[in-house]
Amino acid sequence: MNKNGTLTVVGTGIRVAGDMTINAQAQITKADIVYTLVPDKVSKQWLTRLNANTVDLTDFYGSNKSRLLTYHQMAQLLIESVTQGNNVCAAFYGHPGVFAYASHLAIRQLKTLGYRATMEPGISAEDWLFADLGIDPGKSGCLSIEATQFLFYQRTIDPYALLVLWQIGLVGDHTLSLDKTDSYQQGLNVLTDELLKFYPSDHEVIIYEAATLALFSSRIERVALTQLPNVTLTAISTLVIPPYQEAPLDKEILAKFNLTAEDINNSLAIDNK
Amino acid sequence: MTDTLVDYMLELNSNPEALAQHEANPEEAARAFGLDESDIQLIIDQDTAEIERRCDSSTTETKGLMISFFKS
Repeated sequence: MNKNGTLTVVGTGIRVAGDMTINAQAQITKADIVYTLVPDKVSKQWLTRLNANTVDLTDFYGSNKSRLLTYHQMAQLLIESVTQGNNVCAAFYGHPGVFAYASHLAIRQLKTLGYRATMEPGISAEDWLFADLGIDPGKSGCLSIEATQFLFYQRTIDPYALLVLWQIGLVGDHTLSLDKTDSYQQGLNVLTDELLKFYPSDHEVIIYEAATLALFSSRIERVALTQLPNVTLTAISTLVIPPYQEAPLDKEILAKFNLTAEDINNSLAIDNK
Repeated sequence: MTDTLVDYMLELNSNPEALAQHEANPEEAARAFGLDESDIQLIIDQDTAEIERRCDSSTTETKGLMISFFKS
């Protein structure tokens, strides 16, 4: 049996108000207290309208303070509120479980303590990216990864798949404490050099930033890979690298199915449908 | 105290009909919503920087963003 006090983590989506699910809205409205982690005044005003008893978690951010500590403090506050018997809602922008350390940490620890703690999905920046760019990640497969992790660790590039690198405006930062995106040039140069080992210099890449207001358009800036070091980046910039070419068929595997390349091509021909 | 310009942004985000009216005639739509003259001018001028400032939606600062870690 669960103890008194619950945590429900919900996402506000990227375009606040419009992106929020009906269920997320209901969870916010009925909660005893709502802890919010949203980056702008529009979102805060909307959430306060839904539930006047809101607490802004962005107060935990500090200059030159590690975000790891910040996120632990956020999670701790959520845990304390639940253990006091409150029905807590935590509203995070985007999808509350994507690039969201504090929400997962709080849920994990509360479950260990015997409390009910759940998460509702929200619309993420990646969802907007696929919609705005008209890209289906199922077509070629997709590697979606934080840019600095991609550089610092030995990862495999698949030039036949879509590559999405997040937080490109902070690429190369190991401090976890940058306040502004003004230190990415070295990281961007190194990243470009690495990508040029797998893609031609004229391969088109895209800088993407989802619009948070319907009044504005999302940023979709297409440049040749070799020009990547010259672009201006922000904290919400994402680098999208389309597949270089179609993957060749593996004839050895096809042979195990008694298939040929022609069989596959015939199946994919629209004339046969 | 709420900011009417911010309320207007919320309306455009969540009401496709309001967004269509805005796209057809921004000045008329903003005035009908009740924005004051200085805010209507921001809309007419498409003063993106000032609107973003009013909405506190800077994209160069990391405060408020769920920046993830590089650790795998």
